[in-house]
Amino acid sequence: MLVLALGWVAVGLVVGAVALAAGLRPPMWGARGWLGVLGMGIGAALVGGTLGTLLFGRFFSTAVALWIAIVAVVALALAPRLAALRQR
Amino acid sequence: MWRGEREAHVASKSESRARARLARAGRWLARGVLALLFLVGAYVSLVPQGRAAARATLLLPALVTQTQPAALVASGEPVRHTQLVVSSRSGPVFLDVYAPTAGPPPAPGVREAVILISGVGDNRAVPQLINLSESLARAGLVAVQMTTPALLSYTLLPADADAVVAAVMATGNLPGVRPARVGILGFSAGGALACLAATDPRIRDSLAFITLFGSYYDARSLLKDFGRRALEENGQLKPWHPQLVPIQVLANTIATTLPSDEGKVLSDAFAQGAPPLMPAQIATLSPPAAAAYHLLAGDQPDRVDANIAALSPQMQTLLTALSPSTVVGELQTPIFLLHDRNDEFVPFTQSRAFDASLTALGKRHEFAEFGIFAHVEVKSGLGIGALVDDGSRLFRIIVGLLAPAS
Repeated sequence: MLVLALGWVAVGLVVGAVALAAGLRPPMWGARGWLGVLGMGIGAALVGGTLGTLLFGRFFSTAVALWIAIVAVVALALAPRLAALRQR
Repeated sequence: MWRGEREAHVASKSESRARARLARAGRWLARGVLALLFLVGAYVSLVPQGRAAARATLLLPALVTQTQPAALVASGEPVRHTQLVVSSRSGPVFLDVYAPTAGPPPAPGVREAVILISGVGDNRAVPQLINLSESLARAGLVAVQMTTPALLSYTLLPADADAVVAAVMATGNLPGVRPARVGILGFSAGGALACLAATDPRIRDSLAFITLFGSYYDARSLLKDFGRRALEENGQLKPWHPQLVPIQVLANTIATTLPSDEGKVLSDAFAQGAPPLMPAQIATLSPPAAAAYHLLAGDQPDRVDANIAALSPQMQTLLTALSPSTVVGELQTPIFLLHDRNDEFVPFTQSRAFDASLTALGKRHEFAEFGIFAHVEVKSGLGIGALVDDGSRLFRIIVGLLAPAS
């Protein structure tokens, strides 16, 4: 299980890094915002991996960790923009 | 001077514009990668076909390399091996169950089980079979190896079809397994038993699939191939030299129809290292036993049809009862046929004939010939071309086999 969790952490890190490259960093997070995006990726991947294990079994947990981490970092980046749009 | 400054300014402006364009392209590329990863992750976990493809992706290397890849070990289920004995009309059935230790996950809420009939002899400790069973279990399936006293003693009996039925029914009652998710993977002679069992009313309507790997279709035409030491491909006879094991199995099987002393002579004639029978010894055999001997020894290739006709009615009945060709019309379950193109145990033309019959009858099936196997075992030292070519075909079949699990 530890190896599996380390795999989810790696998946979260990769997703966070790609999200940063995609410019999905919330502007209000300042200079250290990149750390937040990576942390969000890792946290969401861990949550997704755990959910995946419970719902689909160990075998598919990493795939669930992957798409949940992506949903989380995209939602994180889009939420402030959507809020700003609504305010306008 | 003024002009030079202006040129430098323009150059730096266009350079920064190009850099901005590049950064924008990089951002969109990264967004595309994220979208692609999202689709892959969702497909592999949420869609049943995706789950089957994901399992097949990790099972294929396990099958070809005969070791479990690290990704399968890390992400797969912990496996428990237990042994069971169930009874059938033909006697005890020995089951080796490789199952995930945990219960089935809520999605799909049930596990697929595959019964592996590994042909004749005791293959339960063969590393390739253990590797296959463990890999299937790690991927979330229940793998059940089955054998019987007759199979262990290199003999094929029609009554063992009941042993297969008993194994299917026992497997359907294992925790987390439902009868409709149980399929059979029959290797070599095990494939024929799988076919015979698949027509049994107790399991006929619930069996998920049968897969025959390197199996025969018609015992009589198989015996003809042995007698001629040739196989018929596209209407032409081509030399074919079988290994000793299938000859021994046919000898032991036909011997069950003979008086015990004559049966022993026939069986012993094809034991490892036994010399061919002398003409005086053959003369002591009954005409059916002598005909069977010549067919198996391949020493009268021009008299194959006459020798087949000289077999006793009991032998003819046995050959009919052991032939999937007898029951092909009654098969209702999806069938996967796999065969090594250079098989020295069972000619690949047997699977071609099976495929032709299933096609003519409009039965759901898939047929693939391979070059990466030696009978039913993976060859070593394979080239990348052969692996890619046969691997893609094998992948498609494995996905089909894993569909009930997903």
